[in-house]
Amino acid sequence: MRTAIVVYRSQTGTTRALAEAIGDHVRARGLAATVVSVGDCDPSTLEGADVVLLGCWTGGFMIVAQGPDQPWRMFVRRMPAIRHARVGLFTTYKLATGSMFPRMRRELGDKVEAIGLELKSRTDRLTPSHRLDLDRFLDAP
Amino acid sequence: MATTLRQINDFWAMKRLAVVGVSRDPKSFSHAIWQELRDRGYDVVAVNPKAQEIDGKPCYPRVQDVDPPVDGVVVMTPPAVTDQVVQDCAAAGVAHVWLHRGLGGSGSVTPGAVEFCETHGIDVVAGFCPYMFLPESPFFHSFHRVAKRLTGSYPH
Repeated sequence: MRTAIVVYRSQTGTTRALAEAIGDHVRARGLAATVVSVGDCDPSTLEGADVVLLGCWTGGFMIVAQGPDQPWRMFVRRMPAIRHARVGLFTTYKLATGSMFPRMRRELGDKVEAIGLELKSRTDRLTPSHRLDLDRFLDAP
Repeated sequence: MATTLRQINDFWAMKRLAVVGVSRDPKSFSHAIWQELRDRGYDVVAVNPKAQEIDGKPCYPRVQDVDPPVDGVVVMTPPAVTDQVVQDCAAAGVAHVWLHRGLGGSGSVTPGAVEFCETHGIDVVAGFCPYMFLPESPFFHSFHRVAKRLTGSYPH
């Protein structure tokens, strides 16, 4: 069975709830999924996964300087290079994601070869469009 | 006695902490503080007499039940039980206590708890939101910090 790890950094619980919704959807697609916060995740566990989804709330000042916060960045720095897993990103936000995904990618640097999904949500729920994006990400050749 | 920045810095310099009054609700403020400290690398345990575990992690009924003991305690309880919590901290040999207070309300602070800490050699941070002093907190916590500075109530 393919395995997925959904690692999130939540501040108010919204990103956590979205991560759990993503985990539920991934399980419904037949993968064994683990959902875990950055503070509880052993970074070495990412090496053996087939799918890795990394999420963080959108930090910054309203509509400027968006980016992942310190605990997420610290986790990424501890993370090993991921060479064999499909990697996706997700975030929750209020007004705009702006530089959030570019800064997440910059933090990841060459630890990942490609990002196959960038999912953003204003709420803690998955829309039909999000589910479709997730399905395409999981099914991509 | 007014809380000083030195006390706050000393508190965050510790590694093993407890948060008393952690709710099972992941969207509650007490749960968020507990998770926040874990995400920031602290070795932090939950204390709540009404829960045996939270998020699959052990939850202790009282501070003195935590083993190995903690260096500092963040108190997120209603004020009605804070006096008992600081007595528990003294019984457990805890030397640093943070009595939370956010925007509005008394938070967990009571005059009796502050006095108890001061007379029992416990370094007490009284009446501040922990987020205000954590690096890169969300902007509304930064706003709170600025407001404290403007009103002269920010610790020195």
